[in-house]
Amino acid sequence: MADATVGAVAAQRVGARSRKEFYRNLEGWLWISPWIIGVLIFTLGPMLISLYWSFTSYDIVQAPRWIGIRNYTDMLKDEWVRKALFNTFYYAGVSIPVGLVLGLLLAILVNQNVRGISFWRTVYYLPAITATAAYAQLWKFLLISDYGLVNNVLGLIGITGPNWGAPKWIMPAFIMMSIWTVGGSMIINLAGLQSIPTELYDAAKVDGAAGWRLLRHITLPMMSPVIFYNLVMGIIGALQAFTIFFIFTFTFDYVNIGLGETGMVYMIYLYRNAFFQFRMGYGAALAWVLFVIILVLTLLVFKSSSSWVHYSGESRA
Amino acid sequence: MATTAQYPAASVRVTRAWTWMRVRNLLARALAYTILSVGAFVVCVPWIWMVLTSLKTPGDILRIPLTVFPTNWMWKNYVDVFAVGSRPMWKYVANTLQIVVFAEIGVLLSNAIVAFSFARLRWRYRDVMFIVVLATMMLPAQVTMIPIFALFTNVLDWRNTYLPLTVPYFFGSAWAIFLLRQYMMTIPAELDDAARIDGCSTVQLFARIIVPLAAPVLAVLAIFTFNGVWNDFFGPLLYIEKVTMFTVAQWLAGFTIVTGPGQMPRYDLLMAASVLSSLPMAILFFIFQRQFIQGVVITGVKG
Repeated sequence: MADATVGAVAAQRVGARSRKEFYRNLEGWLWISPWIIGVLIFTLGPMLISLYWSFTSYDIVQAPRWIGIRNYTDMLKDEWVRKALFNTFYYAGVSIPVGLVLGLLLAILVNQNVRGISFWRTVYYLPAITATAAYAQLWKFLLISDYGLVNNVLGLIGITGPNWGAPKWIMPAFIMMSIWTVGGSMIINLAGLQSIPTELYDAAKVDGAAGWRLLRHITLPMMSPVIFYNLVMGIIGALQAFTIFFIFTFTFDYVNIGLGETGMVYMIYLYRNAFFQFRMGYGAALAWVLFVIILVLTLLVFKSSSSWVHYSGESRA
Repeated sequence: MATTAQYPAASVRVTRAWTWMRVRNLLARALAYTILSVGAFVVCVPWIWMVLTSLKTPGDILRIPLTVFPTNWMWKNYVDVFAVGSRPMWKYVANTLQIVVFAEIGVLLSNAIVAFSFARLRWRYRDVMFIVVLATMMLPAQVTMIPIFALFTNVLDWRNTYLPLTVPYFFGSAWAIFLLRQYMMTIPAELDDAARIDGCSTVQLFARIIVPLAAPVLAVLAIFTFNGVWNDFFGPLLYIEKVTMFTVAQWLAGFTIVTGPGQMPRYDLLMAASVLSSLPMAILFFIFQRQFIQGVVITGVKG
């Protein structure tokens, strides 16, 4: 008899416990439900839809019409895609490496026991806290051929400044603008440098290492995860650059945004197709191709990272 | 540079090297200062030029050779651009602030709720789900934007409203969840137990204990959200066509049009507007410099 009661109570307890556990699990899921809903509505759903649209002809008014891979084959023939890709890679290919080297160099200099770290940090970070639209407008103004500051300063040292809006010069202008905001990566590098244990340097100095060898054998390996991070972020950012290019080439001639300029980068062309000419299907195909390009480049960098990125605490054969 | 004095046992050889190293250190530092100063000058000149230009008359700006300082200091330019005319800046600031307020509410609420669940509640598949959240960071925004645009304009008819620019903020974002969760994990677990024993419900635990303790990281998130909304150009470009509803970024981007077609852009006013529109972020940066830099370091969002 007694045994049976104990058993019943225990069973009841188990039931209570599993019910309690059920509510606890439910509660956990409920608290993250905003994110789940958001991801379904704003990420996964749209991804599937845009993949479907990339195989259709769709102008937002009439229903999408299936055309197979024609959008993708059209892209191969589209000379603007070729130009946009060239310009985008030109921009990314120069601005990323220059930004990486300069950002690291500046951070190393500030880290050399110079006084007023926060002063230098603030000064170099100033461009990065300029409102993006203001930054584009400011440079547009500085680069005006006749009364812009850049060409007048060049004139002082006897160089005739180019017409920065000309096809040959617009990309160098954008690269110059991107280098102006190098302070952002400097700050990240500086934080990385300050987390390198000073004992490493002390030990190396006792062993007689100095200067270049400290940089080569301690700073660079220890900083490689940060450099890697900046490189990946740089690739993603540069290939998707849009705002400054858009504002720079913004004219009354709304129809021809970026067209006829070598400043036409990939995202501008995508914008033009999808949101201006409402060629949604073609736009979706352009977007997927850009995504695949970014993905492949990022994977290549990840793949190469095992040979040059050093994580402390991880032994290397 | 650690001094050799830390190793007194390292004998005479080191002491002799000391003078040579000192000279070298001095030279290295002089070089560092020189490069840093030249770089700082180059970096600052565009900014200084922006401020100086904003204080000139249109005549000063177009005079060649360029004059560095204004002949008349036109402080009035700032008043003009901010308050005078048919399209004064304050209207666009007010528009943008409307978006900012709702975006902040959405961001802070949704991300705090989700991060709380990941950091403080125990449930099945929690850690798996957290990895899923992190994985969504990889998913491509450029791919999703076309269907989202169609949803907002075609299905919901939200064109020329601020809804497309605010509603998405109410559903959390992976990096913000990550940022908050990492911080909430550092709050001692004993607090939860104590609160539970005192009869706190989960909602009370969240609102009375965890949120107040997470205030510093919420501030970082709030600052970055402000920057994001303030600088966002692509969103308003897609959804806001009415000039009266423009955001500051849009208004500033189209400034040459705003001053009137066919005319020479008023560069003095344009530069004053540029200075003004950069001011909120500059002020936030100076007040919250430490949090700001922490945020940059954690998230890699460069302002």
